[in-house]
Amino acid sequence: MKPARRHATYDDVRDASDLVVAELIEGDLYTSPRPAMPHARAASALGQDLRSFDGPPGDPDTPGGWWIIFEPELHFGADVLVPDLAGWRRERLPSLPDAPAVTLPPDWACEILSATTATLDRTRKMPIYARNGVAHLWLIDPTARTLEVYRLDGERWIVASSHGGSTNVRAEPFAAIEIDMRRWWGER
Amino acid sequence: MANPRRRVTYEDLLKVSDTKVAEIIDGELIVSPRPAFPHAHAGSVMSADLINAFHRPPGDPKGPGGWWLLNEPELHFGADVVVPVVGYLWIVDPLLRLIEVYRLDGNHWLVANTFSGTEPARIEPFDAIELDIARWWLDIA
Repeated sequence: MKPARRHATYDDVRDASDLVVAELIEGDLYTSPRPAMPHARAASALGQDLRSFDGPPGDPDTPGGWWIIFEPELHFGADVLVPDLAGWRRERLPSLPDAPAVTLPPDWACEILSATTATLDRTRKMPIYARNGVAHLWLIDPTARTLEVYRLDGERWIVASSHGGSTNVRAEPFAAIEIDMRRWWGER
Repeated sequence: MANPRRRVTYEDLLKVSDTKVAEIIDGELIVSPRPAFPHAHAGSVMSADLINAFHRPPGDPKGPGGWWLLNEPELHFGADVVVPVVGYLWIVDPLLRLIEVYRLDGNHWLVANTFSGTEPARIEPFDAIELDIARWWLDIA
């Protein structure tokens, strides 16, 4: 995937069409099309699966303690990244800012891979998430039907676990529940 | 990929057709077709580059040397039979033109680096030389 423009600024992000996801990475503007159906399904199902984490802490019936947000605009200095989903622990982010973007790095980010974005996700976005202290990153590939779970170790990613196929998984930081990956792949 | 749910033995692997690649991973027999062209091309050119430089005795003036490099060796790890290597792991995607480099850190894989595109690259553990990775990718118009 090639940048739509080099030496770009936030004005270029603002000027991008609403039909694309615009990101700014080390001065390069990337515009990705809206997700295709397998991608959108995986993101939607995952968001529902994590519902029990998205609530105040202290409820005895649910794990809680997180904000789970679809496609938040993250600002890391001059870089502007939009993961498919991200989560913040409420102890770090007690209330959501009323703003178009967030500067506090999330505790978890998830990228759903597609043929057009996988290289960008792995070569450019993963190192930026690491530099900014995002503790966990999930990469979900709806075509290969895989989940890769990365945990930050210093400023390096280590592979915490990897999962494939039509099975149930427990994956950090959401290992408190078991998730049925078949829902992500549209099998149920 | 066929992966029947019973623990298989090496006898099962020996019965697989020579036209397939057979592996045993956590007790499951995994049978893959022989590689398609972009895969075979990337593997062939990459191994030519690496073998030419590194598959030599240490101190050989023609290259850094010091390695044995083999294509598709059959490795036995206890009961598992798998076909790639350890210490470093490369995952090369010839369609995305992407190279992921993992380094073993204790008993975890650490993402050492990621390369894409066609710029020459120095890639661990073979970073003594610059590799012209553009040669690995087949131009499919």
